Amino acid sequence: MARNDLQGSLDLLVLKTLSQMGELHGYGIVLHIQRASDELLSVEEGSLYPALHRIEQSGWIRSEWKLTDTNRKAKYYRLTAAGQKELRKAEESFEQVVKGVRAVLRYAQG
Amino acid sequence: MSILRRITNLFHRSKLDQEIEAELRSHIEMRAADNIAAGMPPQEARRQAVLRFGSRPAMKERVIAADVQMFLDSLWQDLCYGLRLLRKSPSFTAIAVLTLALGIGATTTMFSVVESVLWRPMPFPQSQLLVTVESANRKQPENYGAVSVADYLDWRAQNRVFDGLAAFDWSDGRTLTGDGGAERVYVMPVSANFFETLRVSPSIGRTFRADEEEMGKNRVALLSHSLWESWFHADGGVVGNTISLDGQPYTVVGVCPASLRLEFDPDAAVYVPLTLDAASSTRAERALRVFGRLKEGMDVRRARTAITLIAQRLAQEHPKEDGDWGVRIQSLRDAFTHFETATTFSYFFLGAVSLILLIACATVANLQLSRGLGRQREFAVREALGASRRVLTRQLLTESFLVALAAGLAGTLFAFWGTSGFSAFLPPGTLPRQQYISFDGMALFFSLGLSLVTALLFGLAPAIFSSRVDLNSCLKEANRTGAGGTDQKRLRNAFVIGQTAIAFILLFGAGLFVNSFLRLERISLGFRPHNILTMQIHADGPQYSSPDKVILFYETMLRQVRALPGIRAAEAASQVPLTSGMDVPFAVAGQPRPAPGEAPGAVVRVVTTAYFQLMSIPVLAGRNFTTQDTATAPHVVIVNQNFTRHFLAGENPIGKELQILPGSYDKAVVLGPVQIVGVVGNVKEVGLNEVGFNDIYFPFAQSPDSSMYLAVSTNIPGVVDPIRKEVASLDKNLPLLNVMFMDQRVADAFRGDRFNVLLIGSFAIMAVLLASIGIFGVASYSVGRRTQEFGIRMALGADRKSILGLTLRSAAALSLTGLLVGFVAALALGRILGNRLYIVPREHEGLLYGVSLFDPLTLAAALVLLTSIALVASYIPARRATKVDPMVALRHE
Repeated sequence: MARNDLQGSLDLLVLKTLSQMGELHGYGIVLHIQRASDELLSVEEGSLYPALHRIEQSGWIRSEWKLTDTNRKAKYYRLTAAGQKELRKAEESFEQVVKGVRAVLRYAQG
Repeated sequence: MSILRRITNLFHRSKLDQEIEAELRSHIEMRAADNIAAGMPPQEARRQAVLRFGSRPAMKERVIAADVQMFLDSLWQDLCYGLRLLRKSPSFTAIAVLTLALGIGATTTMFSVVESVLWRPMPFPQSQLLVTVESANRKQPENYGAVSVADYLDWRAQNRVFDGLAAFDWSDGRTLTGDGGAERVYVMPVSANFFETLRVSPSIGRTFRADEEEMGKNRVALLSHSLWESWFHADGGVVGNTISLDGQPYTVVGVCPASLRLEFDPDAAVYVPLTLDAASSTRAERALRVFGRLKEGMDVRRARTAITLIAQRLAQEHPKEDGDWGVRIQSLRDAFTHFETATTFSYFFLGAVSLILLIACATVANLQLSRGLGRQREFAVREALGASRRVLTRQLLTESFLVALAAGLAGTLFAFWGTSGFSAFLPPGTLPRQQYISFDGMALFFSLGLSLVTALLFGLAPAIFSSRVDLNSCLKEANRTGAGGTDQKRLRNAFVIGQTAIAFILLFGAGLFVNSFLRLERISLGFRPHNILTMQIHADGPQYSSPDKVILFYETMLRQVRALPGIRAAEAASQVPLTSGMDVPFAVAGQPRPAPGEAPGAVVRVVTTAYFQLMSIPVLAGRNFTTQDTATAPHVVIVNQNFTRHFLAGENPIGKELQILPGSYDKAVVLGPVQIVGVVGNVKEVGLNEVGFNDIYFPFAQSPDSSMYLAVSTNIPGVVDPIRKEVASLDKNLPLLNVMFMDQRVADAFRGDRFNVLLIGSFAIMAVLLASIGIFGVASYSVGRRTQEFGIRMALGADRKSILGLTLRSAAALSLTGLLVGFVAALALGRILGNRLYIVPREHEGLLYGVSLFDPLTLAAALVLLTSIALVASYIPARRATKVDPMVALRHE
């Protein structure tokens, strides 16, 4: 279920990140989004974990405790098949939203 | 998505908490390490990392809130899907909902009745602290209850466990006179602390003062709210007014609040102080009812120990009167509601009605199963498309809950009506506080809880079995007969067997009640009730202060009434049959004298000379009363057959002497020695189904009772008006009460038993109906599934008769197994019930009369009836099997 709101876009970012990077822990997701967006987007860390939990409960991602490169225990997330499908849907719906918003903005300026 | 995991998450928050905590810790550590790498001092690095999260507890809450949100979302989805499906098969939904609603409604109705009668707390603040304290004879376990004045006063003065120990006497009818005319009201003597102990304060005025328990200061009265409204027209300035009870003036000191509901004596309209004079009666005269309010924090056990200690001391000080006596303490509610007749009635019918609910659940479970079979392809397809079995099970359970919820709502409505219908049809005097039976929050809670339980009962098995789909066999069109599986078939058969068994038990039970009722109808009353009109008169007041005046009044009245046209005879008796009565203690001369308070009692009847002829009560030995038995002649009595059998077995009763002992009996019977001059037949005194009472009849001339029933032999109902006129000519303040033909009293006595028959009869009808639906369903289903087989058999030469036999046989096997199980269960139940359904010594009525719980005739009748019903239910679908056209059946696939 794609939602045309900010929560929906956080889900999209998380799913997309995982599809690009394979396996990542929460902190890694934060860093990636920051880096990939040229520091334009910074994920609020307090919102990330509820979102991860919800997405996991929906069956779109799976998690596993593993050791990091620096030998720390961390929870790694990866995309599931259902998550792939969901990502495609979310991307589409995001495109729609962006188009829609842009159209409105243009209308307001013109 | 895993709904189960999400639910477990909700319940295992601590585990979830730990996991989140660990994840956050690792996140913070990584961030801190990066911060340090970027050149921050370690402490600052950590602080920054933590800060970015904001409040950690709040974040954890948000993780959990996400769970709840998703749970609700998916529940909503299931509900919508379930609703859509149920709407698609309206007939299934309607039958299932209706069946369950009946079961839930009937069960909740009985629950609501039992809850109102037995379990609901009495309507007083902190009523769980109220307990009764009764004297109990240690040697005679049946002898307990009332307390003597002196014992009560000692308990009250010496105990430290009660916040008030109050006493009262049962209310008694008295004549209230004044400007408004005359009215019969119930007057209840209560101790001064009675209302305070109940925590009831008057709406106007005050309650009694302690010194008003003394003789001479006790002419004060409290009015019930309704009497205040009817008699004083709700006059706010009523305090200080005078009312007259039996001609004696009482000053009104207060009015009880409208909310006061004295469930153990609901008729009381006036309260007067109990006169507590220890010197006026002995400790052996036990007549008071005592209850107390436990001090806060005190429990019944400790109170019992404390009062027992006092009672033991009193027993040592007064060995003659109190030597054998201890105390008995129980909650006020239990003491006045948990009578054996009430509990037997309540639990018996509650048990019976829950059997119906079980049958209803089995019926719906069976319906679900057959519907599940029809939906197997749907499930198979969905499973092939990736739905997990858990999803399918959940779907089915959700549907069951939806059905149960609808049934619960409808059932609640049924129970709401049922409860008021039940209390409207319940004959008066069947249950304690039955006028307060109502459907309340507890019943609502029960009803909705019950619908959840039923959802599990009828929904779980079908949900598990129906979702267990064999993909291959199911999707292969040709192999359709294989669908269903033996497990499911066994389950369905088990349901049908269970239904038949329960239906048999209820049918047999109903048969027993019918049988018992028929026996009651043939019972000997001991008198002839036809064309005898009876009415009660209470000649109370100053003008009847002496026995002579009472005799004069009644004799004059009888003479005038006998002179009226249409009246063949007129006599009087203190009580007529089927109106109960009072006990008087006595001793048989020549037999060892019983200890005080332990003397046997016999029912008192004061009668005029020709009363026995009028009622056609046979004089079996000795003589009748005559006009020679005057006040100055030797005192004589007549006893009944029971009396001679119990107390004078093997002796000639005529000429024997009895000692009439003083007791709580407030009627004017002679005390001291009396001689038995005759023996009469037994009559039914309280009800038809009673333990025979021992009666002593006193001649009116020697024991003039101011309160008498007038019994006239007439067949003209309208004769009551001239009688009323004659009585008014003697005293205009005497109302005629309880005017009724004896035939009517007999008919009323049957009402309770008729009600029981109707109740269990309707249960049995419901049960049999549901069971036959079950048998019919299984039979038609199996016929439907074997259509192809029958086609082949017929093509191979089987005739219609053998096909009929084939289908009937399998259906008959099922119902016969059910009958067998039911038969064994009924016998086992009979053993468990023992003699509980019959009269018990202290009570005078039972549910059943004169029929054994193993009555072979009733067993046989129930067997035959249910077998024929089962045969009809399976014959209809079986006949359809014989109509199969072999060609059509074979081409079918």
